[in-house]
Amino acid sequence: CTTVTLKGDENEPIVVNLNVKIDQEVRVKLDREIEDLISDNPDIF
Amino acid sequence: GTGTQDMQKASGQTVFSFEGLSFTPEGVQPNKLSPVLKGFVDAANGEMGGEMVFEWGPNGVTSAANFGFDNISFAGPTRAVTRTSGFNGAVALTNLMPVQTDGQQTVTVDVVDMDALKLVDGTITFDVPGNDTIIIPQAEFPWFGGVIGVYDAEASLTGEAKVPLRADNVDLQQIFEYVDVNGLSGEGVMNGVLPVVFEDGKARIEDGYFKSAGPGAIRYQGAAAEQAAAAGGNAKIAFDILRDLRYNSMEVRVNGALDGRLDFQMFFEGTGEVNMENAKGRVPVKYTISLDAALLELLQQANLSRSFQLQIERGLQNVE
Amino acid sequence: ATMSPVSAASALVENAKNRCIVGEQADGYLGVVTGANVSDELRREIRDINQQRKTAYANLAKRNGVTIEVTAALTAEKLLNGATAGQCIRNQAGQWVKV
Repeated sequence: CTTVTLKGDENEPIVVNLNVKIDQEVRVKLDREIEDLISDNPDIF
Repeated sequence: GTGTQDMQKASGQTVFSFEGLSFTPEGVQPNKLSPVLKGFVDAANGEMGGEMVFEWGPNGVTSAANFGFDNISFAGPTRAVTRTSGFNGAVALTNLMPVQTDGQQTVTVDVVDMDALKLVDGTITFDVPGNDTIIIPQAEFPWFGGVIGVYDAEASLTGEAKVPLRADNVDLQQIFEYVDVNGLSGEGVMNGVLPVVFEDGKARIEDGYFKSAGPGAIRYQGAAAEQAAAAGGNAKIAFDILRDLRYNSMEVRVNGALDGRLDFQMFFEGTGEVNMENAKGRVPVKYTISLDAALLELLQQANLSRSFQLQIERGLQNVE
Repeated sequence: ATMSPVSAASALVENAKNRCIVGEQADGYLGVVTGANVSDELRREIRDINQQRKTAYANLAKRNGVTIEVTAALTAEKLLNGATAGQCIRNQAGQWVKV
């Protein structure tokens, strides 16, 4: 197949919008740790 | 402490001087020195020395103090700063209630930990005039090869406060090393301003921005690039370009809560390499990356290919 | 697991909670109910408790690689559920609601 050279053109640039979302996997384990946090610190919860 | 008493005018003075006073969880704490500090500066450890002078007379009690802090660490100031550590220096106060400094004071600090923003090894000059405000003529910290600092700022100690952090000569390469996402590198220098708004014990960046000082490059050859190459089409083009995106100008906008999610909008204008079966070459690009990330450190666990949407508009048709 | 209904925070705060002057919020911190007037001493007590909570949330967040907002909000869920009848809580939308 023929290779075509992309001709750069100032007013016709390639426009790319890339949206990246970094999610946090909140593990179920956290539920137990939250319970402990509350019970271990009665003076602030 | 020592004290003198002048019976006629019923005035007198008491001086408390102390050396090696150590803050301990169960023992002495800042709020015992002045209740105003409760929940403002607390949970302290480290040592301090100094003297407190109380004078009383016909028009009430006045208090002054000279404190020497030796590697103190504490929660605060305010809930927005999770912890300040390695606080060193002498502070002179002309009043304890309300706290009022004897003009400008200068201290050094190892870490000011504001969750997503940790400022390290800084020197802070501040003045607390006693009207519930703090004046910061200058506070400066080394930051990613450059400097980040506060210059001639004034903020309320009680209500909402907006403190602009100015960043100069920030080295993009050092940021990529810190973020440490495999396959991500680049170079360039940026300057910018991060306005930090302190409100109800929370801190957020509002309309923060960085602008490139001169050309640079961003290169990504990580997992997402390989997956995109396999996927082909727009994804391949987008990540081909990102393999070595050389920018003439770049701007980054930052918004978000320092204890929560930060939103980055990155705009690049420059050139990128495209290689498809029928089209190869370095072409001009306008590249926008919107990154919604919890914490910079969390980027390391990021699998960038997992959740990204892509949109490529015109510009591809100019195939010769 | 059920949550012990009475938390041992200082009596001053506990009393204020029961009288709807102070209440748990969806963001994980204690708040002053809109319109309620609060003594300096109580305000400082709340500020102190909230500062200690922030430290606790920060440590938990660091250990689990999530943000402080996440650990604070997860804790808030349990605290709001644990609020007893007559107390006031502040929901996600920022409104104070009587339990």
